[in-house]
Amino acid sequence: MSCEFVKTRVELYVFSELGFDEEETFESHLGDCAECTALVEEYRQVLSLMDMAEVEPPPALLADCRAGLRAQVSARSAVERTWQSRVMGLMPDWPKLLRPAMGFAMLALAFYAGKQFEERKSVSAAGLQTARVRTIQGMGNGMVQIVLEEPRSRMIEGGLNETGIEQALLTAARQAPDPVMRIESLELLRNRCSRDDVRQTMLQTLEKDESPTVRLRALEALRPCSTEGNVRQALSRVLLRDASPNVRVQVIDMLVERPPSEFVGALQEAIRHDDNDYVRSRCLRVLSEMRASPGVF
Amino acid sequence: MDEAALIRAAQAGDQEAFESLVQTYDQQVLRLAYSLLRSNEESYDIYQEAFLRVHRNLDKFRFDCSFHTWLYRIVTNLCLDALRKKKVRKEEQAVIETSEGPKDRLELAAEERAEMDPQRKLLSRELRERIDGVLSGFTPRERVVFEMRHYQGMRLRAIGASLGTTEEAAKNCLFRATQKMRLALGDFV
Repeated sequence: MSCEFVKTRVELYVFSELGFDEEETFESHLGDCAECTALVEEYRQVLSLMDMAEVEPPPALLADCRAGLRAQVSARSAVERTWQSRVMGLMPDWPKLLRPAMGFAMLALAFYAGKQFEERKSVSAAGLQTARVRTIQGMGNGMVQIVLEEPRSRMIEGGLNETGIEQALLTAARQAPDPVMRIESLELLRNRCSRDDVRQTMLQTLEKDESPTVRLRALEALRPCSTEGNVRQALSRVLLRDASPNVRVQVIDMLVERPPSEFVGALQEAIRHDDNDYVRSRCLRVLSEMRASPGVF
Repeated sequence: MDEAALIRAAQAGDQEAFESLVQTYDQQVLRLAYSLLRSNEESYDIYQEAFLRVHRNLDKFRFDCSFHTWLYRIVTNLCLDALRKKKVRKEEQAVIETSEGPKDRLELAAEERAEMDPQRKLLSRELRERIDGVLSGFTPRERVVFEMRHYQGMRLRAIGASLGTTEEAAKNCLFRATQKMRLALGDFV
């Protein structure tokens, strides 16, 4: 394999956007060629310089946007309701008329899905803890296709309920070097936070992942179980320690929905120590709404 | 409630479902718009227009593609239009309002990272200008593809679908953008 092969594909290799076979060929050449390895390293460094240009919107902007949208949607809905009330009386109740047909269709679909699932071979979890996850591809029908390297790559395919698939996604969420892959894993696992191992992975990602985007995804996935003990404790820690003001503000928004008692202490501490004006003012407002003192006595 | 159920509820006029749907994606949407346009006002406008279009047209959403793709098609079109309206990139005000007054976006980013890594303090003004030059040298499409891939962590297939084009076309954009970056920044590494 020639250096030309690498030189014409390095731009995509650094984004992990080569096809499976091309990436194999590419990497086997890198093992034998110091010049091409240096070229790949140069591209990686250029990309890391571009990280300087990454910006996050000011935390207050999201709240402003949401408030603005809520107002506009309410105004629009009010206008629509006036129109609807005029024509409603003239229309037949289609949902009621179609309900029996829909029920039959759902039954047929469930039967078909059940047959499909029954026939699928389950995926072995053996060796997945040490595997390197190379690609994850959601297939759009509740299925996911994952390519592992252990050390030879192999492809596994199956439903999210299959142990091997779930283990591979958990491993990718915790260890994949590419943040894109970690995000994709979290997205696929986000509705499974009721499971202890999934929740632990989400919590670990929330507290330890280096990328604020990935941490925000983990935080969003934890929203349905934000009232549970270990999640609340983690959220309080994140409020006080996370480097990203966006993450801290999202934690406040999440905790304020059903505030735990220890949340007051975390808010008071954030007011004293947080270096972001908006985060401090948000904490102050929440404490005031909770009728709690902003100071510690 | 899963996403499909949320969409159906929102289609049936459930405001809370619509809000939940918005809040599943709005941080990513705002992040993309802000990163591309670097302006509070413009990213606010993109956010409002995108989600109002979603609200207006949600009843036409037929699950032919994922909701994410549908939403991003709207958002990227709005962002591309906004970028195209900025005829000369250098005329843009790359300024962010902070508690200490307005600051240059790249200077701020460098400062924030400098706190974490003292070596970053050594980054020269020339480098920051060079990075700004790289971004302004991208075509609007290259800019959007690079932002979505590098900062938002989206796959090229999804980016292509959002832009109403193929994965191959998105790949070509990323390829060209990466070559431009190396040309401009190669002597810094």
